[in-house]
Amino acid sequence: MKLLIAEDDPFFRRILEQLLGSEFEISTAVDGNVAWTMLQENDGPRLAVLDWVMPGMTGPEVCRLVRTPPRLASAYLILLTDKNRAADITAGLRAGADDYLTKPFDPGELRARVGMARRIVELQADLATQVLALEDALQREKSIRWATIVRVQARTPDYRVLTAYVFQIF
Amino acid sequence: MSWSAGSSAIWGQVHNDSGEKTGRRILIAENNTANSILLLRTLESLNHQVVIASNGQQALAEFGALSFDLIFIDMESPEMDAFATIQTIRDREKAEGGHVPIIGMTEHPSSGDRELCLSRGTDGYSAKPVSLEEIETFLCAVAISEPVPLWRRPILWDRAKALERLEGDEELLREVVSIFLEGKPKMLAQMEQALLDQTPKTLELAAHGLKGELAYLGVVEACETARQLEGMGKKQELDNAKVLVARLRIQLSQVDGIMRQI
Repeated sequence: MKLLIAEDDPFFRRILEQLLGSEFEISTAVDGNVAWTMLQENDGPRLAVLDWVMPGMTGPEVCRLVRTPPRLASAYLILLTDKNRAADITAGLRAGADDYLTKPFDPGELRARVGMARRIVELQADLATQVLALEDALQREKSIRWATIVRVQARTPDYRVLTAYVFQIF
Repeated sequence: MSWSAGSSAIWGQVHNDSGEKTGRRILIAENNTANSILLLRTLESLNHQVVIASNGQQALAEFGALSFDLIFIDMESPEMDAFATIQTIRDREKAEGGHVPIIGMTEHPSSGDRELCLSRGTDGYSAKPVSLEEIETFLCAVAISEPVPLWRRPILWDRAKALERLEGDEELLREVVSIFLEGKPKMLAQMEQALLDQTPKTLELAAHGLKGELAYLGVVEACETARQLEGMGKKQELDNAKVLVARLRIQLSQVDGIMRQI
């Protein structure tokens, strides 16, 4: 799975990359603006660890954009912060983050939270696939019915019969 | 010259009104008489013990004989050969432990002096004559090395903690330590520039960045200083920031020495 690490400090970028590199296909952004661009790409990462303080857009600012319509519905965002006050954390979550980690983070906790994020992103992807399959099935069903109507119409040009038939199948 | 009676050195006042020994022990390594007397008198008036050495050899002899809280060294005179003298001091410290803050001085400051001094193992720089304000800044910065018994001193660098945070990956520790050491001078320079330009936001951001790294690495004391500086930047109160930046520089030099040994 693709994971975006948005962190301006090379120190933390390296640590995150190394700790998570074996489990994810990692891309990195050095500021909030680059992160936002990468998140918008068609096949871009759906899971991101965003530092709070960054040049350009901050982590919460990126969260806010992601959640603004038309939103990138399935993106899962984890804010990285050293702000430990409840008010700061609430502000981060209100901006649209799904979760947060405080620096200095424990590697075990990092793995656990990112692991949970992965499960949620995977679930969402499964759901999306199923919804697509359902829509596809519905579509096929519809075209079969139309084909039937066309066939009926060819046999009985009487519109009353046809109308009754259409009401019956839709 | 009475101030260099007998040996190369002279003791300044060592007693205050109550007769107790106070103040710091300071070495002035300088062969410009006028400047060293000025510095000597100023330091004495602040109740510090002062030793003067007029060339590199004397400075090293004094350094070997006594422990100092602060050294002022002239960077220009050939007799002093400051770069070699500082190098010898730092080499000895590497073998024996400890880190004495050294302040480099030049008479005709050019723009690169400061960086040159700092890159050659000093902890601070001053153009001559060293002003009273600068002396107080350096001394306040040194005040962290209060004579605390060794067993009560906080650990400068909690390497075990850092390693634990990296899941025991020694290779990664070496790598991030070198990223830290490489980025550190730039962040310190940014903070000093922020004080010159009076841009609290720059100070806040640079201190914030350093604080995060120091916390992760388990460098507790310096991290606390960085945290205070971040707060000052945030509140736009830069009055006491100069002392703290100087202190942070000294704290980081001490840690630097330890980290480079791994």
